[in-house]
Amino acid sequence: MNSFMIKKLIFKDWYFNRYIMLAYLVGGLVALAVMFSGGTTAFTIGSILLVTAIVSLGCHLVLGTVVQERTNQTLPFVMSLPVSVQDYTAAKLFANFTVFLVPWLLLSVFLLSIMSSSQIASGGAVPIFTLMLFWMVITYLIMLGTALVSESEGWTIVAMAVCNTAFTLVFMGLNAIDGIGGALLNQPDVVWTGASLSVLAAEIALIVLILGLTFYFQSRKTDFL
Amino acid sequence: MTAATMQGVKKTYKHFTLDDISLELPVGQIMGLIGPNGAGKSTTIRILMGLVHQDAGEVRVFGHRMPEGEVAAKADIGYVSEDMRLYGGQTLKWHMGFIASIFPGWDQAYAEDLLRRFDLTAEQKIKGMSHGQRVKASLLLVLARMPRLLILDEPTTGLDPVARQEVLAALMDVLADEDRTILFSSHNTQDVEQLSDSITFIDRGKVIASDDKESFLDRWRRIRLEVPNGTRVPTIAGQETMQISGHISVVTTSNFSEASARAYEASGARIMAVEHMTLEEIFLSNVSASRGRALQ
Amino acid sequence: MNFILSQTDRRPMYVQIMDHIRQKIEVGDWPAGQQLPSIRELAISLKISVITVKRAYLELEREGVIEVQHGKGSFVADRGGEVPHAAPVSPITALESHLDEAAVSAGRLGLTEDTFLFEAKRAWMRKQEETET
Repeated sequence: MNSFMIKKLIFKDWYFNRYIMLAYLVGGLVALAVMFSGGTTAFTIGSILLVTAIVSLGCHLVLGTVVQERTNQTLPFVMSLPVSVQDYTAAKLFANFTVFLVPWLLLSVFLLSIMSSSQIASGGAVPIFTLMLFWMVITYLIMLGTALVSESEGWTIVAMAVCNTAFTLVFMGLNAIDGIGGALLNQPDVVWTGASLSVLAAEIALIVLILGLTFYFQSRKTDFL
Repeated sequence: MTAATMQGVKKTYKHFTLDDISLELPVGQIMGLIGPNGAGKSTTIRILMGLVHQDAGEVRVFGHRMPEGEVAAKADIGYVSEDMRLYGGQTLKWHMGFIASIFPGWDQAYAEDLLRRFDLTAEQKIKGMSHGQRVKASLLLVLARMPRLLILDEPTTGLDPVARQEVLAALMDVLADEDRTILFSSHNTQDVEQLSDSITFIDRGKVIASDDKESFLDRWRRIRLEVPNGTRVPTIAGQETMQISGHISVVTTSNFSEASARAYEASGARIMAVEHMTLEEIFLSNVSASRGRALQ
Repeated sequence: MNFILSQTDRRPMYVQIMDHIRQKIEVGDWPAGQQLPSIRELAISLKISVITVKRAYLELEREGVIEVQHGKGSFVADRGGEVPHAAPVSPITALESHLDEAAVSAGRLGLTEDTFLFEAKRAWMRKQEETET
């Protein structure tokens, strides 16, 4: 693994995406402001805006760097440099993951700390919100992996559609579990139960698995162009 | 000393097979790759670059096995292909800085000289450039790095005559250093004929010929024969095509010698003319001959 | 050296280069003993492959027009026995006088213009075949 070139490619992708990262961070902060401006309606609208911001960031990144690199035919340019398929994949995954994670992390931290604070006292909803935030990371990685491996705009968009539909279903599913959702949501205190912790562990495992699978399938390609 | 070798390389696609490709690229030479569209030139080049993995056969560039050694090999190869694009939203200057930061061989003074010769503006964004300017920009980026091997897929296609001359001059400058090598594929048989030290001819996934240019051009002739009534022109070894129009037969041969000329005259036909053929004419004759045989 | 390969000239490239070098020598631009550019230098300035220039030099050496001294370079041969031209003669003018003679002969023999041109072409072919062997 060629760490010199991998770093170069990561910095390049960060440089290309600098405005996107900023724009969505700002959008997310606006959504947070709406969420806590007062009343349940504002909260609901704000949360929808927040989810939209984070999910759109993911879609924008995937279509913007990965798929575009193929349609704009800049892939041969990158592959003519002293890099292997593994180097390219590692750099793409890392760069795109971090570009997503930075706004996501900031927004998540803001959201969860506001929720846990005494003024808002929605601590009970923190576990389920955390799990949904992690689900958004999983969604993003599924889209990213699909884009890299399938090299197809069509399949990537299918993945996006499926993941986004699944979002509501996953929330409903988690809400139905006693230790995670339901009555727990109205409590002011943050309580992590065995159920919520095991789901979190499963999500983290899933993240690692998706990264590994993406890497594996990329390495097996014999026709990189 | 060879810069690159391919031995028995095979690659199978659904509708196309590259079969038993072998070629040798000596250091310090310029090799032209010619062949019709879809013949397999681009695939051959991609296999050489490690961008496509061959199904069988060995490929070595500067001793490195491809595609396993692609990272080490590509440090010494400058590659420009027709289907390659630079980042539209960035300037040429950004690209120059990017490449310069990767390759220690980058010569900034030479890069600036090329900017002048190619009539390019470094501060211009790639998407604002015309096709010709973009091609020249891509070439500038590989030339200023001073790589030991230049692999160019259709470097002059789509360029206006002025740009083409600028590019050809820059390519020939590369050869001032005897240790540097060029492989280029082109539809422009005139460029290939003029610049190449050796020629490899690919058609339908196979190498039809791979030879030094002068010997190659020397072996081919077009012979105009006057055929009197009752005489049949025999098929002499090396004959590729024959076109008959009344009493005149025009034959092309890939293996001309005094003996073959005598053989035609011995049959009763009279040689009216023996002409050298341009590379384009050889190309056309070769392809029509192989298609003719295939159809039979 | 400023020289552009004619696109319509059907002669092999190395022959064109040889002719141009011979002209330079004949008109006196390159006197005996003058060093020729190195094969690689000439190839780059003409934008012609090294192998073609190499062949031209080899053929010229074989004809005795130039001398190749290994390690030093190529030089215009000193053809001491040849009568140097008193004044530079254009190749076309030189040919014209020969052709004028041939045309006069053809006229005396009662041949037509077509036959004259046809035989001229055959003579050219014979000359080509001779240089190729």
